[in-house]
Amino acid sequence: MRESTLWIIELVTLIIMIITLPIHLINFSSLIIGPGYATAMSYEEVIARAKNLPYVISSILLLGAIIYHSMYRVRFMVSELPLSKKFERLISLMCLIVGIIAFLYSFYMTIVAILV
Amino acid sequence: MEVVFKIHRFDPSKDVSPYYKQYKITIDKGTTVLEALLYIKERLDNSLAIRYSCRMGICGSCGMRINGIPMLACKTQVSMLKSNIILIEPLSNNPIIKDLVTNFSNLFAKHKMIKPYIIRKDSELDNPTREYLQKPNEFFNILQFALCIKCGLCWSACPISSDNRYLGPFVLAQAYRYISDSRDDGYNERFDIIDSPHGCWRCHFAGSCSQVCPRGVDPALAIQLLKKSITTTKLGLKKIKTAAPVAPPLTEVTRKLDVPQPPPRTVFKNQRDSTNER
Amino acid sequence: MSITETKKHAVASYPKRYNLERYMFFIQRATGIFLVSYFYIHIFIYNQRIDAALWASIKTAFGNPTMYPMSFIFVTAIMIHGANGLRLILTQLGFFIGKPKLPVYPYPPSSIGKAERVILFILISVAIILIIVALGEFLFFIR
Ligand code: FES
Repeated sequence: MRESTLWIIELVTLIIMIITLPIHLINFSSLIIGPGYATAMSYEEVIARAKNLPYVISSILLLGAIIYHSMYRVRFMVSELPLSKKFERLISLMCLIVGIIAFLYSFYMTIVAILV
Repeated sequence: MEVVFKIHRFDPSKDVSPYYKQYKITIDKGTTVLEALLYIKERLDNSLAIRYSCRMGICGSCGMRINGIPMLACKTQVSMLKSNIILIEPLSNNPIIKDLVTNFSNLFAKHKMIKPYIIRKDSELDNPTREYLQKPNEFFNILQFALCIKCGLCWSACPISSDNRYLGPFVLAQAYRYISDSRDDGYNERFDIIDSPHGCWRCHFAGSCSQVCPRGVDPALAIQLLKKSITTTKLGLKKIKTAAPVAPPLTEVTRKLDVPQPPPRTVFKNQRDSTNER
Repeated sequence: MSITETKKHAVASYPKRYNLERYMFFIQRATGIFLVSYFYIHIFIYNQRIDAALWASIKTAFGNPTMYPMSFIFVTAIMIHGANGLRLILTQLGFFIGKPKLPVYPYPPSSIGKAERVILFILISVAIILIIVALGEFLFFIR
């Protein structure tokens, strides 16, 4: 794909991250300083949160955005090393595969957690 | 003032690895680094290799790393460096030919790749008839980048330039200079090379290129504007501009009514002038 | 077009060291590498939550106070990476870097000029405030 297309997708993911990452952080910091901080990470509460739909949607969006962002930038970093063209393509492909696997695995686990 | 010059020496035909040689010389208040190096070459060690031409910051051949920062030797006064030991090294990220001279052919090949000339769809360039129309503000948009002397300091300062295929700051600045030129039609032709994996998206805005530029070209600005213009064009927020038209043929010029006629000429410089008397 | 004279000595003509943005670039890269590795561990661990027994053992392994500094470093890295990244997004979209102009000696570069520095300092100070808040929260959690 064209580099500029990748950059525009990256821009979209950055906007998603700017919105959902603060939500994620504030959510967790309010959990650990809230009244129920002692049991905040217990199995029951974690699963109860995993069934909360707005939380699930924002987490999935954040997950996809961060995976895209990280793999895009890892590809950048690797291609700045003096490598052959073939190896560079291989790295791009690997970044894509790792990203897709990480996303699908987490997505699957999220669905499983909702159904548990 | 006594100053020690610690100079990088490397002769590929003799030496296995680079080494540093020290020269102690006395300098005046306004001595530039280039003058000091020439003094060393003339009086102390004639085997020192340096490249220079204009001695006034115009040709861009005397770039070297002075105390670790890429600078033009002819534009840098020794007294301004405020240190008694001055480390002189060749520009980084380029193959070394000898001592302080590096090979720029990779950079110039990349410069050629982005087609650093006006491209037009019409045949005006082949059979020029008249000038192209350009407004002053359009001219000032590109003037800053047109002042580049291709000295390669930005390439040496850029932290990403260790990647040899990266186009580099000044090449991308030149690409922006031609893309944003109102007379130019070559956006699509240059797009492929600029948008390649080693093109403008490889710039992470470390800004060192702008800091070391001796001519105020500000390559970092040009690259960010290049990215902006590619993004906006891609998103459809901006149309690809069409080149400025050729100036229309001169119609008969008439004097404005309220402008008075000039007084008759009183001094004639030579015979030709006097025959053309109005 | 106006030509103004600047008496102030230029940064650009005789730089002593590289500019701040260059160091920010290296910080960005270092925090980025740390964040990528931590992020994948983070999602992998969190994805084990469906199994009650496994989650309990993970809680004893990672929920003890020796792991808190690691989480705090993670949050710190996110803050710095995010603050600097926000500046990079804005500058790459053409904000705060000025316009092409006639260069006048001593050629102060506008892309790493005042506006850009101000935005960098504002974002970094916001990040530092948030890091202090996060430190307070972690201390509260540990007590
Ligand atoms: S000798 Fe020409 S730029 Fe220094």
